[in-house]
Amino acid sequence: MVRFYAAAFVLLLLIAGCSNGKDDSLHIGVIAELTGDIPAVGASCKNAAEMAVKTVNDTGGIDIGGKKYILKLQVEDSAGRAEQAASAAQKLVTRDKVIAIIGPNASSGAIPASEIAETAKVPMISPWSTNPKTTLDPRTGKQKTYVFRACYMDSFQGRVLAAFAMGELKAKKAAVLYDVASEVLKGQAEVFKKTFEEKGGTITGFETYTTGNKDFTVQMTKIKNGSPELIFLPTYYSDVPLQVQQARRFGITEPILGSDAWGSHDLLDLCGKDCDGSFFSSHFSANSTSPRVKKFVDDYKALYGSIPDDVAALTYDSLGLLFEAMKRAGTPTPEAIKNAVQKITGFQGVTGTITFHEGSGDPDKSVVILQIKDGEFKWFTDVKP
Amino acid sequence: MSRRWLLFVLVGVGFIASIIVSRLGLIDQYVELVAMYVGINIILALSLNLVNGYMGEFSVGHAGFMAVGAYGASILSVRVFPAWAGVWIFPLAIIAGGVMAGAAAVVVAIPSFRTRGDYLAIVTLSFNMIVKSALENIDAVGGPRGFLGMERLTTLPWTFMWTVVSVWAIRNFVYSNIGRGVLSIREDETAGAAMGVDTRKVKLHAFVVSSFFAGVAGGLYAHLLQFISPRTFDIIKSTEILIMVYLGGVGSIAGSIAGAVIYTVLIEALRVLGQWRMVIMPLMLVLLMIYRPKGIFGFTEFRWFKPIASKKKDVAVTAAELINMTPRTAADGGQLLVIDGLTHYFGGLCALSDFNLRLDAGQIIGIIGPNGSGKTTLFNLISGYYRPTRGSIKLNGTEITRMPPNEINSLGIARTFQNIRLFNNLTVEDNVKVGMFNSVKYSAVAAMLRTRSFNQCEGKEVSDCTRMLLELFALEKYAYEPAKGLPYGLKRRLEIVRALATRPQLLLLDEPAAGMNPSETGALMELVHRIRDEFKLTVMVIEHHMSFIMGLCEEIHVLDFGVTIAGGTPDEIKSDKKVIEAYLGSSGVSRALKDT
Repeated sequence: MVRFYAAAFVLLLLIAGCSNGKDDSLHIGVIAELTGDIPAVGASCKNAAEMAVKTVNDTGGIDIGGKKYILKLQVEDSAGRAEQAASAAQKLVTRDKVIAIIGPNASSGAIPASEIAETAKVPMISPWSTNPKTTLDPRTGKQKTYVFRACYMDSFQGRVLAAFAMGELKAKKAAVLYDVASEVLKGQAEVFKKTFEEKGGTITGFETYTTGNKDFTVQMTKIKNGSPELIFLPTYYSDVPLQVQQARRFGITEPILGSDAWGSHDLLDLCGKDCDGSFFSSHFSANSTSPRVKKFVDDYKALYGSIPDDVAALTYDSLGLLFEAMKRAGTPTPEAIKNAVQKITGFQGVTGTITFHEGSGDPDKSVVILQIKDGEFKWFTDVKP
Repeated sequence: MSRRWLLFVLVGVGFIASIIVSRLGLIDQYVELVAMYVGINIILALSLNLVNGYMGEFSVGHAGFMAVGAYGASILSVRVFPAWAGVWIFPLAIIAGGVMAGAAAVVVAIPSFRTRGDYLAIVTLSFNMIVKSALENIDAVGGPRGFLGMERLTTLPWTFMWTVVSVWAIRNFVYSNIGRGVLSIREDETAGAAMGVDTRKVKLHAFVVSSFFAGVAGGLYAHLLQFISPRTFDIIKSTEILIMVYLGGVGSIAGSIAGAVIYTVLIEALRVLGQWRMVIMPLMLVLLMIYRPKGIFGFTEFRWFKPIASKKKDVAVTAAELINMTPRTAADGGQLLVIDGLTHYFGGLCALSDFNLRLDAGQIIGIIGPNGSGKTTLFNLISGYYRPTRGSIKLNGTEITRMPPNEINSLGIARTFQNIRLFNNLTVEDNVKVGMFNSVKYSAVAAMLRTRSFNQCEGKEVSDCTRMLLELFALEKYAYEPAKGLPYGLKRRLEIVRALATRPQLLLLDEPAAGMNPSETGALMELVHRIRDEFKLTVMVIEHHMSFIMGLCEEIHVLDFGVTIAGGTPDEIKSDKKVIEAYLGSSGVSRALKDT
C-alpha cells in the first residue's frame, strides 16, 4: 500500500511540476524529432529555430501593431512517434499557450499534430512534411485552414525531377528503387514514373525495399538487367550510401538521381567518392551565391559549427514566414496570424521565393537541383514549376 | 468486512466525473489527451500481460494485433458506417476491430501451438512485421501514407469505460477455470496436461482474448489520433507495451495498470529533459530489472482485484458425490485397464518390452524393479506422454493408446510425478482447482461476463469440492498459501489431492514415498487405502520401499531392463528366485524381506 501511495505522490508532483507561468512575451512551439529514427532532422530543426528566434530577439523583439514582443521558443520532442507528436502539439497549445507551432517534420507526426492545431485554431507550419494529407482535411476534402508547410510536395518534386531527368540529363530509360515503407518516397517514385512515361520515357525497373534493409543485391541485379540510362533513388540519406556502393559494385555506372530525402551532410561522410556526380533535388543549396543564403549559412556555421541542411533552411524559412505574418497581422492572435500567412506573396526565403494562395497551405516555390562533387553539395540549377 | 462495494462506487464516480470533466472542460486538453493515452495503454498492457505474464509465453509482436484492430475499426467507421451514425455506432466499430484482431490471433496461434519461449517470440515478431508490410502494400488503406478520415470519437468517458471493461473482463478471465488453465501452462505445462488441461484450447483462448483487447486499444487509438500508418505499429510500439508490462509487473492486473500509468505519464512529464527523456525510460527499466526483476507488482495482486474468498464454513459435498458428478463408463467385464504387448523403444534402446496387464477395478497393484527398468516409462505410456512403439492400452474397453495426456486424464486416469510437479506459484487451493479443469462446464465468455452458469459452477462444483478435498486431507489451513511453501510431505499429499480432483478411476502414483521416513510412509499407506475405498479408485504404485509395496499391494509386477520377470501376490514375489537374483541380489533381498 505504501508503495502505491508513494507512486501516486510522485506522479502528482510531476504533473504539478509542468505547469507554466504567464508573461508578456509570445510563445512559439517547435515539435522536432529529437530522438527516434531521424534525430538529425530534429537537431537541424531545433538549431535553426533557435537561431531564427535569437536573431529577432537580438533586435529587441518582433513589432506587431507598434508593440515589441520578445519571442520565447518551446521545443518539444516527438521521438518520431505519431502519438507523441500529437501530445506535444496538445501540450504546446493548452499548456504553453503558443501562438503558432513549427513542425513536426515527419509526416507521420505532422498529420496527427495538424488535427490538433486545426481544432485548437493555432497556426502550424511544418517545415518538411511533404505528404499531401498534412494540409488536407480528409473528411471534407478541403484544405485545413490553420495548417501550412514551407516545402513543396513530393508529387510536385517527382514531376520536376522527371522533367529534369529527360531534359538536362537526356535520359530515355530509367530505373527506380525506393523505400516502400516511407509515405514520402513512395509518392515521389510513383509520380516520377508517371511523368517519365507520359513524356515518352521507359521505366526499365521499379524496385522496392523496406526501411532497415541492408542488402539490395536482388534489386540491383534486376536494375542492371534493364540497362537504364539513369537510376532514380528516392531513398533516405541513411540508405543511399549502401545502395550507391552496391550499385557501383554491380557495374552500374549510369548517373544517379535522388530526391530531397538525400539532403543531409551525413550522406557525404557515409558515401564518400561513390556518390560523386549524383544529382538530387533539394529545398536548399548552402553554396548558393545569394547574399541572403550566404548570411544564413555563415550565421549557422558560426553558431553550430556545421553547414545547415535543408531541414534547417526550411525551419528557418518557416519561422521567417511566421515572423512576416506576425508583423502583417497587426494583433498577436493565432487567427490574425493565420490570415496573414495565407496572404504572403513573394517571400524571399533561403529556400527560394515563397507564395501562398488563399485557401491552401501548400506554397508555390522553385526546386533546387544539387550535384555531389568532390565531397560537397554543389548548386547545379533551379527548376521552376 | 469487505469494502468491495467501494470499488463499484469508485468506478461509477470515475465514469460520471470523466463525462463532466470532458464536457465542461475542467481539465486542460493536454491532461485529457494523456489520460486517454493512459487508458489505451492500460488495455494494451493488460492484454499482453495475459500472454506474457499469466501464461508465461513471450509474445513480442503485440502491435501487430493492435494494428489489425485499428485498421479494422477505422475502415468500418470511415468506409462502411454512415457518417451520421458515427458516435452511436462507435462501440460496434471498436468491438469489430477487436474481433478482427482476435481472428488474426487464431491464425497466429494455431501454427505456434508447438512453440514456446524463444520460438513463439520469433513467430509473433514475424507476425508484427508481416502486418506492417502488408499494410504498407495495400493501397486501398493508404499504403505507407497511412489511413485517415476518422472522426475524433475516442473521448475520455469512452476510454474510461473501455478501460474498466477490459480490466473487468481480463480479471474475470484470469480468475476462472480457463484462467487457471493459463496459469498451469506457465507453472508446468506437462503437469497441467496431466491434470486434464487442454493446453491447445487454453492457449488459443488466451491468445484470442488478449488480441481482442489489443484490437480494442487499436480502435481507440485510431479514433483518437485520427490517423494511423503502418509505421505507428512497428516493433517499437510492441516494445513500448513490453516495457509497460515488465515495469508494472508480470502476472498482475494492478501491475499492468501501474506500468501503463507510470510509463505514459513519465514520457510526458519528463519532456523537460529534452532528448535525455528517451534515455531515462530504458535506464529506469534496466535498474528495475536489476533490483526488482518481476516488476513493481510482479505476481502479486491488489486485494480488490482478487475474487472474494468464500466464507462458507459447512461443506455440502461428500467424496461419493464428487465421484458421481462425473459418471464413468462401467468396467468391461470388471476389467478397468487392459494392456497388451506394450513395447517402447528410445532409439535402439528397449525401455519396455511386451508388457501385459489385466487390472480389476478396486485393486492396488505395485510395479517394482531396479532403476532404469522401465517403470516410469510404463506410467508415461499409460498417461499419454509417450506413444508406444507397439501394443495397446484400453481403459474400460476404450482404446487410449495414442491419445494426448489431457484426454486420457478426462477419461479417468490421473497421476503424480516422481519429482513432485506442483504449480509452485499458485495457491494450494488453485492447485486443486486446476485438477477440476474438465468438470467445469461454463465457457470462457461466460466466465468473462460472470454469468449465472459461472457462479453456480464455480460455487458448488469447484469451490465446495475443493474445500471438501482439502478438509479431507487436512490441507485446508494452507488453502491460500503458495504451493512452493509447503513442507515436503504435504507437497506429496497435495499432488495426490490434485490428482483426485480430476475425478479419476485409476490413479498412478510414481514413487509417492520417496524421501519419507518410516512413520510418514506408514501414514501414506493408510492414505492410499483410504482413498481407494472412499473414492472407489484403482491404484498403481511405483515404489522402492519394499515394506510399503509389500504392505499395500495386492499384486506386484517386477520389471528388469524393460522385461516383466515376475508377477503375483507379495508372498509369491518374496519367494521368486528370479526377482531375488535379478532385482535385489541374494543378500540384499533377504535383508529387505526380513524387514517386512
